Amino acid sequence: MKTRYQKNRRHQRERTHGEQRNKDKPALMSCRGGYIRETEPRAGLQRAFSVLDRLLLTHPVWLQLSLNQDSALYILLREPIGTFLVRKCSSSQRKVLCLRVTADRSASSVKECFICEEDSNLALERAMFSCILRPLKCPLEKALTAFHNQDGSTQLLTQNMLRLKGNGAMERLGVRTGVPDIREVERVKQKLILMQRTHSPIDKVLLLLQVCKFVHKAMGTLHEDVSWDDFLPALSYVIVECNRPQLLIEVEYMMELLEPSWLGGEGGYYLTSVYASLCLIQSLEQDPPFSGCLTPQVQDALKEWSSRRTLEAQKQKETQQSQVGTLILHAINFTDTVQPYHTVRLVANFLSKESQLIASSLWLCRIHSSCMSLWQQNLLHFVIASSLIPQIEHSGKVERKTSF
Amino acid sequence: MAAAGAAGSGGRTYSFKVVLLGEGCVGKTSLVLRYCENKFNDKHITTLQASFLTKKLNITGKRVNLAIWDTAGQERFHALGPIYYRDSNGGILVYDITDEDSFQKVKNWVKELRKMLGNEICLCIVGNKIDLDKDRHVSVEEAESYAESVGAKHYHTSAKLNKGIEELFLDLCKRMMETAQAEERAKGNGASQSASSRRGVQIVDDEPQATPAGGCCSSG
Repeated sequence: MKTRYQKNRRHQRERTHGEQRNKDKPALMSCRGGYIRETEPRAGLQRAFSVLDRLLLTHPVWLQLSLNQDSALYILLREPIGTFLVRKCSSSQRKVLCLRVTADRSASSVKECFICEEDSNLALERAMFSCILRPLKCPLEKALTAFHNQDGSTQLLTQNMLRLKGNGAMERLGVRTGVPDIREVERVKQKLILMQRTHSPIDKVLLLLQVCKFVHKAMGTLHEDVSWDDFLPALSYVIVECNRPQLLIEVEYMMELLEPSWLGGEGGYYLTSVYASLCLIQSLEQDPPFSGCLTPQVQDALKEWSSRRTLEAQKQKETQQSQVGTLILHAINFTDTVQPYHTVRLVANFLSKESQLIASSLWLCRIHSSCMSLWQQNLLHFVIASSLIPQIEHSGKVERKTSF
Repeated sequence: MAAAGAAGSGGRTYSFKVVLLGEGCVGKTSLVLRYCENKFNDKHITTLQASFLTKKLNITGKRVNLAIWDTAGQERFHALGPIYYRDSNGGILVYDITDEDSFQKVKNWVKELRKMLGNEICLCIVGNKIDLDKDRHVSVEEAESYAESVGAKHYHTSAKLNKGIEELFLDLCKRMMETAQAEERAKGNGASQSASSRRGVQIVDDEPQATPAGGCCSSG
């Protein structure tokens, strides 16, 4: 984060018109209810000033990392409601947002909360995804679909879903608990449709978690006979009822493109469960049934996937490569049908159309040289963040707004 | 992730994946629920974290994040095991001391895990339901000698009485940390240790569900 701020100082000098605008502003940035509002009209400016821009441009004012709690309180009690500053907690080394919330002059009129920097990573990641994956979504999906048409898994899944649907599905899948009713299944279906529309693996996985929550809920409360062992059958039942074999493509998309730390978390767990369900459904209707849910091919593919992604995580750590870098390289290596030049062209096209020229040249530079300095990576982060986060915020895609 | 197991070497944060295996009714879910939330047979599920549970620990000044993966216990789902246990740092294999058959199933799992994941994975064999000792069908000697023969540790627990569970997980964590440290040493001391640790911490801390006070800023 720090480096981004440093970079930003340079950027700030370049954008003098921004400084002029800020001259007649109060000393500290003001926000109401913790939510920083856009008050000035965007029209007439060549480049719209977003919340993020404003924060970045004014950060020397509100970013007071050296302040302690008492000094922060002292300063804020002299400022109007809604004024904030950011300091660093010396014991936990985390940044703290201090905000004047009420008019009285007691200590309780200033509210403090820790800033979750993870959130900024999330925002950055989303920005990255929209930059790289949006143009790549279609070719990737096509490649995956073609692959699964070829290996027969799509046909098998489609066929088994149709056969299982309706009567007997519960029994054949070993469901012993409550399951979502028709209306709830319809809601799950809608979630799956939404999932197919988004390009971001994070958004996809969040939708998947919502689906799993429906299933959990419908399974009913836990008692002696119902345990969480029953989750997989219930989930499989819902997947069959939804009858969307495309889910296979979605699952693989997530498995390939989610950041490794996500794969080890809750999202990864439920993604794994959906994958297991799909394997189970494919294995049913076979003769004999249940004899080894995983074909040797599936086992090999899993092994290959797992070792590849683990290696990638290690490499990322060792080379301190940014997630952006890994993701581009990953996208390039992802499938043979998406040739490197194709990726480069797509990314370049996208960026020159929608963003500044500087960004696209940086992207190309990143793609061509695998050893970009940390400084360049940070600059890259900054360029992406400043050009894309406002767009995302503006379109309301980022739910939590902590763009520090 | 095996890689995440040793993550954050400089920042001293370990992230471990632990897989929970065992037959349907041996009480593995109760065991882990007791450990993570100190509940037994609670009827109230408020979060999704039901078959996936996390626990944060501090062991001799080192932070440890545990992600515990529950698996489907029905025999018919046995073949799906590899999907769940890949990249695990630890495995907890639970049997019911009153059920000889469930102990046999544990033996099958041990064989499979050793074959697929080698000796890297720390195994715990757990005899649950010791509150029903009068109905015991698996002898202590047999279970312990078997565990020793396969390089696993044996524990006796009761999820109902909350016995032996803390010890089990603490012990497992220590063993996984030793394994991770040995792995790090074997890899040689990376030149960019200090710099990579910064990123390592970042990566580890990235898991959103591991942040208990996640709402602090979104509301502020």
